[in-house]
Amino acid sequence: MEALGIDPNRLLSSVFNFTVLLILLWFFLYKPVLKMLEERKERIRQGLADAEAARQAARRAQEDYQRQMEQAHKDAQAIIALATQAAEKAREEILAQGREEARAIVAKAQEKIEYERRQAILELRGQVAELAILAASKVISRELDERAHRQLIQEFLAETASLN
Amino acid sequence: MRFLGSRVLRYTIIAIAAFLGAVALARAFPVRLPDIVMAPEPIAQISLFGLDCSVTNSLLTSWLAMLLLILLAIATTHRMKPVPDGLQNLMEALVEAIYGLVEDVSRHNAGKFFPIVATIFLFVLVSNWLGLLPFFGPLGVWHEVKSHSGEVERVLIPLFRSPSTDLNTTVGLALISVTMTQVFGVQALGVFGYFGRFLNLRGLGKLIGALFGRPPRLGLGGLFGLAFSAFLDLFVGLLELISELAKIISFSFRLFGNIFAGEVLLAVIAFLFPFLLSLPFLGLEVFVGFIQAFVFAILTLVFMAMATMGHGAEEHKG
Repeated sequence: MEALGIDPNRLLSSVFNFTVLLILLWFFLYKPVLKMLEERKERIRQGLADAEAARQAARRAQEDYQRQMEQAHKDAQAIIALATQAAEKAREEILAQGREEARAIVAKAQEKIEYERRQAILELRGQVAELAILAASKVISRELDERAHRQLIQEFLAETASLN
Repeated sequence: MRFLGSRVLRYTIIAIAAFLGAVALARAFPVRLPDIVMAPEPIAQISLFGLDCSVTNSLLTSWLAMLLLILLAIATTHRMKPVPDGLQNLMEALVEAIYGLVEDVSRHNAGKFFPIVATIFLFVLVSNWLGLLPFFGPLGVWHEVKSHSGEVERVLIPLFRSPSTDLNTTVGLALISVTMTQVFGVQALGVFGYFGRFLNLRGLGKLIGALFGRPPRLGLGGLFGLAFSAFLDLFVGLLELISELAKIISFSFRLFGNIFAGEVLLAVIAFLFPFLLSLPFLGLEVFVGFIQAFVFAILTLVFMAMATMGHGAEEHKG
């Protein structure tokens, strides 16, 4: 031991020195550095998690937007279809009404025409009768009694009406 | 080819000139072969409380190494930045590398093993490399010593000496390593669980159980087998104990031998070829210094991990 230079005091001092070094390095190097490494690891993990969350949120927003756009498109399409349908219906109604009115007007006009014609015929009949009477009285120069006269004219008119 | 030839020629001429220059320099400034002593030399005699506390050159150098490491640590961590640079970057990488290694070997006990393993590595590394500094050999005090034949010799006692070339340091480190291995082993497995590996009485217990068990179930052959296995258990325990003690020797002498021999080699090479040619050997010793620090630390780590892992059948019980 002597030749090797091993000395108990010196051995003790080296053990003591090592212990002191270990404690000092623990407080000045290992603890702060490991803490810093852990913090950094945590921070990076947090950052990655945040980035992932942001990406998810962006994707969800994108999907929402897409969905809303699709919905709006669908809605617009439905509104247009509805409007077209309503317009079609209105057109049909208007047309039908118009047709109806036209038919009514035509019918009324025909009725009126018929009436006028009848009126005219009646009027004509009277005038023709008077003319005939006048003409006949002039021709035969005799006064027929009013009744016989009328009868005669009626017969005549009936003949003409059947001719008509 | 002509260009290549001229280049080779040029380098050859430079090499020869350098060699001749180195030889001429060596002639002009011959280097002394230092006295090679295994024991560290005291450089100051201090008496503390009546205790003889002589400061040896290796002790002074271990203080230097400690101071260096602590200053480095403080410089690294006194203002740590979340985004590291320079020294902080380097030290963080170093600490993280060592911690990663410890974690790889023993994830469960990394926090316990790491400070010891890292301190051993850093201290041994700095010690080994300090010894390679140019002023370590020649800077010293001349002393007059009486030799065996009675003549007075003048001996240069270096002021610094790598702590790794002092057995007191290496044995101290080995003692710490082995002791802490036992402590961690007991912590992990309990007093009986851990020391059971050195004094394994389970075979003996079985033998006694078989001898006095009622009814006797085993014949003579079975009893003999049990006795043999009990003896084997005891013998293996003895071997474990011896190997544990041998660790102290192998740890301390491996480090001491490598670094001491390296420094002797450097001294001899410096004596033979003082200039230029000692460079490759210096590089080699830088490498050896790193490897020895690494080996010391990693063996400590592995022994600690093995001590905490339990031994054979005990693992199932615990």
